[in-house]
Amino acid sequence: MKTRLSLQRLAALACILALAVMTACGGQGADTGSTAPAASGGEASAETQAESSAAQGEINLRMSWWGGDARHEATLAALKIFEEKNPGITVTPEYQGYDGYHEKIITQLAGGTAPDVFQFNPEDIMTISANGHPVNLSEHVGGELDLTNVPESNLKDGTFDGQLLTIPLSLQTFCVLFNKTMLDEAGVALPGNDWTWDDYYALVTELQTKLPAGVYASNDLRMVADAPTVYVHQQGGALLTPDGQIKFAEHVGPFFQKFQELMTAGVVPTVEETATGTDALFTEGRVAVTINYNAMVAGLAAEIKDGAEVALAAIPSSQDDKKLGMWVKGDIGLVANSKSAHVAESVRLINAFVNDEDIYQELKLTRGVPPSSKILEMLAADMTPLEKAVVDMQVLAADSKDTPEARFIKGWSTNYKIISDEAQNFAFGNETMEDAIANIVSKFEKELRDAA
Amino acid sequence: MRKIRKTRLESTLFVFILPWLIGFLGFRLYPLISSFYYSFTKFGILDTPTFIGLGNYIEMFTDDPLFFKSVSVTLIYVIVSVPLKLGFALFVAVILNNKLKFAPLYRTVYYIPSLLGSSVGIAVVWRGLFRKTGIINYILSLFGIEGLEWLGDQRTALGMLILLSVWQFGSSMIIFLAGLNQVPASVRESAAIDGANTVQTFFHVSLPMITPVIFFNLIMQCINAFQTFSSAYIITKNGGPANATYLYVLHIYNSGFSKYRLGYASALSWILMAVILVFTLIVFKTQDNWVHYESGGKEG
Repeated sequence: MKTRLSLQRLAALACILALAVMTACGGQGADTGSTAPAASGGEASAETQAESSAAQGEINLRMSWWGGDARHEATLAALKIFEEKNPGITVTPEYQGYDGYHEKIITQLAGGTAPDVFQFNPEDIMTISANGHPVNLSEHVGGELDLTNVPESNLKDGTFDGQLLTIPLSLQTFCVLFNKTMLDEAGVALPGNDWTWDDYYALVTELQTKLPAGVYASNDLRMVADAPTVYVHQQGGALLTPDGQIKFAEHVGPFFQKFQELMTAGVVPTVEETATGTDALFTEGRVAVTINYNAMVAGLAAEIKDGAEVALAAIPSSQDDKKLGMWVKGDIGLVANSKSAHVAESVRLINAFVNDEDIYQELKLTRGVPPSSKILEMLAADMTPLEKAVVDMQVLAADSKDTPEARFIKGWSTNYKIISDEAQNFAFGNETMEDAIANIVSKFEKELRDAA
Repeated sequence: MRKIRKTRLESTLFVFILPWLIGFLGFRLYPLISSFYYSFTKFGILDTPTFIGLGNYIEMFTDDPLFFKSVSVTLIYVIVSVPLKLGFALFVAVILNNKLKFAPLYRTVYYIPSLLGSSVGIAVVWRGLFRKTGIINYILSLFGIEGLEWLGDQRTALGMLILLSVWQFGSSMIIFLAGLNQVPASVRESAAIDGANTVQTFFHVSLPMITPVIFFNLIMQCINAFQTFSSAYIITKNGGPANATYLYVLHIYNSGFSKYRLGYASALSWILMAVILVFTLIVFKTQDNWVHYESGGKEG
C-alpha cells in the first residue's frame, strides 16, 4: 500500500516536471525569433522589469523588426535612448532575419499576441489592413506624431485610401551596381546617370569582350526580383494599375527578348547559374554589373569578393521619351497595432524612429535612407563615399516625376515568384516568350481572384 | 481491495501519460479536426472562415496549374528516392552485419546524417557542395570533367534533393540491421552446408526473412518522402528552377503562409493525407505477394 502511494506521488511529480519542461520549451519557442543569444536575456529582464514596474504605473511596449546584425545592434541602442527619454515606458525588443518574419507577425495578429509596434512591408499592408490592425496614424499627426520634416511624397507608399497606415522608414530606389575594379581593369568607363537601355546593352556587350574568362558582364535582369516590373513601369505599364487593370504583357516583351539574346551571346549568365541566386553572382565576382535597391548596396559591397570597389548609376531610362525612370519606393514600414492597450505610447515610439536625432546617431543608415529630410541632412555630415552615392540615387529618384501609379493586393510578394518562374521557363526553352508572358498574366489574374 | 488497487494503478498510469495526452489533444487532434472543417471554407488568416462547400477541392482540379505541377514533382521524388534510399540502406546494413572490426563505429558514423535530418544547416551545406564553384565540381575538374550548375539545372535539381534524401539512409539502415540480426545463424549455416554461396544465401534466406522489416521501412519512408519540405524550400529556393523541385508541401506552405489562404491550404493538406493513405493501403494490399511472416503469413 505504501509503495503504491509513493508511486502515485512519483507520477504526480513526473507530471509536474513534464509540464514544467513543456512550458519552458514553449517559452523558448517564442524566443527563437530573436537571433542573438543576448536577446533572450534582454527580453527576460525587460519582462521582469515590466512586471515589477507595472505596480508603479509603468508601460511596457513590444516592438519587433527584421534585419541583419548591424540593424539589430543599432535598434537595441536606439531603444535604450527612447527608454531614457521616456521614463515610465519600457520596450521589449523582438527581432529576427527576414525569412518567415511576415508569416510570424500575421500569425501573431491572428492569435492576438502581436507586438504593439512592428516593422512591416508597406506593399503587404493590404493583407492586414482590412481587419483594422494598423492604427490610422493620420489621426495622431500634430499630437504624438510630428511629420513637419517628412515630405509628403515620402509617405505615399504608407498611405492607403487616404489613411496613413505605416511610415516607411526606408526610402529606396532601384539602381545599377558596378564592380568598378573590374570595369577599370577592362578599361570601360562608367556611364552617366542619363543613360538609356540601349546604352546599357552596348556597355555590357563591349565589356564582355574585355573581361577575363568565366566572368559575365551583366546579370540576367529578368531574374532579379522586381526588375521586370521596374522596366514595365518605365514604359507606362503596371502589374496592376490603380483602376485594377493588368498592363504588363504589352510592355515586357523587348526586355525579355533582349536578355535572351544576351544570354545566348554569353554576356549574361546561363539560366542554370542565375537560378541559384543573382546577388551571389555579383558578390562572388562572376558578374560585373547588376541591379538592386540602393538600400541593399552597403550589404553587397561588404560581401564582394576581394574587396572590389562598387560604383552606382541610375537605372537606364526608357528609349523613347528619355524619362529618368526612377522613383522612390517607401519600404520597411513601422506599424502601430490598433489592438494594443497603449496606442498613444506606440505612436510616440514610432515618432522617435522618425524624428529623434539622438536615436539616428545610433541607427544611421541601417534601414536605408530615412524619411525625415532634417535627419538626412544631419547624417550627411559624416558619410562614406559609397553611402553618399546611395543617398545621391535617392535624390535623383525623388526629383524624378515618373513615379508610377500602381496598386497592391494581398500576398503581393508571391508575384515576384510568378515572374521569375516564367522568365526561367522561357530561358530554359520550356516555353516561347509569348507563352511565358501570357502565363505571367493568367497566373496573376488568378492571384487577383484568390485575393478577392 | 483488488479492484481498488487496479483503478489506482490505472489512474497512476493515466497521470503518467497525461502530458502526452494534453499535447496530443491540443496540438494534434484539435488542429486535425479544425483543418478538416477549414478545408470547406474560404479562410484568409485574419478573417472569419466562410463555408464554401467543396469549392477548395474543385479549385485544385480546375483552376490551379501549380497543383498538378507539384503533384507530378512529388510523385517522381517519392517513387525514385524511397527505393534508392531503402536499397542503399539495406546494402550498407548487410555489409555492417558481417563481423567487421569497428562495426559499431561505422554504424554510428552512417547514422549521423539521419540525426541531422532536415536541418537548415545541411541544406546550406548541400547548396555549397553542388554549386558551379563548389567542391563537387572541383573534384570533377581534377578528372577533366566540367561540372554542371547542379541545383540550377532543371534536369538535375530534383536529383540533388533525391541524393540528399538517400544520403540520410541511417535510420532505415539501423532497422535493417536489427532485422538482419534476427535471422538465425543456424539457417544461414545450413544453407551454406547445402552449397549456397553468400549471394544465394542472402537472396534466398536472409532477404525473405527480413521482408517484414522492408515492408515497415517502405511505408515509413513513403510517408516521410511525401512530406518533404525544407530541402526544396532552402536548397532550391522555394521549388526552383522553373518549379522543377516544387514539392507538394511547398504548395501547401505558399498557399497558407505566402497567400494567407488557410482554407485552401487545409484542403491541400487533406488531399495529401488521402494520397498517403491510399499509397499505404496499396502497399498493404501487395504484402501477401512478397512479405513473408514466420508463421506462414497468415497473421498478416
